[in-house]
Amino acid sequence: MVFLTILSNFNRYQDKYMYKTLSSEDKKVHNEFFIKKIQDIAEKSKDSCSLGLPFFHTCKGENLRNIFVSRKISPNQCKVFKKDLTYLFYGKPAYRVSGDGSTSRDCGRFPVTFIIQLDDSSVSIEQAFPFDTGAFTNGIFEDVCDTEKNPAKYELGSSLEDIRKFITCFYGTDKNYYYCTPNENKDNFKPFSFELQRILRLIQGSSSKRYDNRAYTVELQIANPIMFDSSSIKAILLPADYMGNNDFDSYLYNNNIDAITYTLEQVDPAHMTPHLHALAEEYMKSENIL
Amino acid sequence: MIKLEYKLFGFANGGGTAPQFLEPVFNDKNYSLFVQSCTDDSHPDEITEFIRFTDNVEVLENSSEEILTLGCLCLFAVRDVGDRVICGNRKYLAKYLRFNLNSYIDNPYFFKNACEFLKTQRPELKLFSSHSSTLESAVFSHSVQRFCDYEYKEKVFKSHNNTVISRKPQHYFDVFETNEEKTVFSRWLDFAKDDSPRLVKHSKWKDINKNYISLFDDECQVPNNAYVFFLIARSVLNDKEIDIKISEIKCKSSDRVSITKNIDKLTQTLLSENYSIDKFNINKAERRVSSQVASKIYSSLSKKKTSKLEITMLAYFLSLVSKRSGEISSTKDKDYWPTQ
Repeated sequence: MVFLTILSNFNRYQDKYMYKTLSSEDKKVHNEFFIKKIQDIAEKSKDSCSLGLPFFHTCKGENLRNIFVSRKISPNQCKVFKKDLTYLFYGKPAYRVSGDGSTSRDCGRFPVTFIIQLDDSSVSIEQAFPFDTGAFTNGIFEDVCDTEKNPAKYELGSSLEDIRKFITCFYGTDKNYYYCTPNENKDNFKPFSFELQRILRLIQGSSSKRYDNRAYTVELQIANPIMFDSSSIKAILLPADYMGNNDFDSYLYNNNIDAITYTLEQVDPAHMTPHLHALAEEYMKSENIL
Repeated sequence: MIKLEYKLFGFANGGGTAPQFLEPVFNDKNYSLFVQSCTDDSHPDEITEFIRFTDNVEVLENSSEEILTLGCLCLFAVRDVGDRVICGNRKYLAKYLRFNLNSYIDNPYFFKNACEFLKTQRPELKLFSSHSSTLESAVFSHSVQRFCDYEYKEKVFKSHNNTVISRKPQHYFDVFETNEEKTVFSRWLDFAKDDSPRLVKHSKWKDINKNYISLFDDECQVPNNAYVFFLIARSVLNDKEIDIKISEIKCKSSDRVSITKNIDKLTQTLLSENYSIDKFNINKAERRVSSQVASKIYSSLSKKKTSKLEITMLAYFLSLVSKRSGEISSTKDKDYWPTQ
């Protein structure tokens, strides 16, 4: 009986949040009331986003060894999208490493964040979304997005230009995006652009739930490896324990990759996310990109 | 109420290379593992809680029988080079770190952490003021160490009929190599062209030889002892009133003789203070050189021929070669193990 209940809940969950490619009919609707709407508003906007902020990829520290040895960030199998993908976030290190609530001093469990500069020619973008699809499919935004169970309805496109238009549409500038200050243009989305209205609600935090920034940080899915060298990686946020290794220090330095370190404390590694945000913000300000 | 007792079981290793700070791990009578927590701001070093420890990480075993309870002073631990673990309360560990601080100079990351723990300011910290400058200094430190090993091998091969000896000779790093008249800085720059090209081309270290030459350009005799230069330069830079003293050199008098007198006075004060408390662990010959170095540094700073940062860089370089040649080490001044 208990097993059947669990199975039934699991099936309900599976049914509730799952990625499905849109049918041709749905694609037409998506294009008309989502993509085209974003483009129209972006074109009319008096501001224009320059897409000047970097992208962020966060992983557990234990993955850093393979990345260093292979000199690349390789895509991993994604259970939701059933593809090999690397997840990046625009402007903010929104991904949080999973924790079981227990505290740790094991630097392999603590997050390492790569600060990445992308251009269309160097990467193959599979898709971009206006939020963290992992949080979406886990139902974290369900009180705002419940009627839409398929993240495909929120796909922004597969080029950096699509992301630029989205940010121009909702925020106008990178700075407004970073500080989550949207343009007040909800009337533009009425009456049929439901997904855009929901995105605005997520951004404005007009929900009974308290979201973190996964609700309003643009996610990129990359299919090809990202080289761990000066062509893409600008800096890396990591526990100071990794430093002091002759080869690693020299590799970072010779590739002009800044090492922004933090000191390990006996805490839940998932709790380091706000600290990473502060370090990332400090970095972007010091580089005059924020 | 009986306070539960927790025995020091060992130390969780953060996974980095030594030296590094460690996390003391305790066990209760049921052999469950715990770490200490101190959350009382009014008594920041008192243990307020023992938190269950479930990390699957290497734990270095502890051989002592230390037992702690809530309210005890928390323990701090460092794994030093050679896997020696030093553990004690803040005062005890601070004493150890303060005494051995110079020996961590080649590891900017730990050096910074140790200074933070000690709440002390050191001139070298100016070289590690940002993330990028710390990384650059770490890479510089690695490069200088490789350079030292290279030079040592070269010298040994030259002087011992191609037979490598195992013990490094003391003082094998003179600032000047007399036969070629090349400074140790220019020799490193030559070495680093292949070893660390970015340092030589695009960092503040590329001008280090020029800085040294300009410091001594009007001097017929230059100091030829790396360790002495490092000790003196650090003492000058450590002086909190250095800026006032330097400005006074010129303010008090404008004629050359008086300026020289003022510099001599400053030099004598510096040396007598340091000799009297035996900070300088150097011999008589080295003391003669030290006077010359101190005088030159005061003079150059007052004439603005050089900056404090440039002096710090020279001293840092020479501290690294002195460390590599064994002149600076945690064991030089006998094995220091303070008692609690």
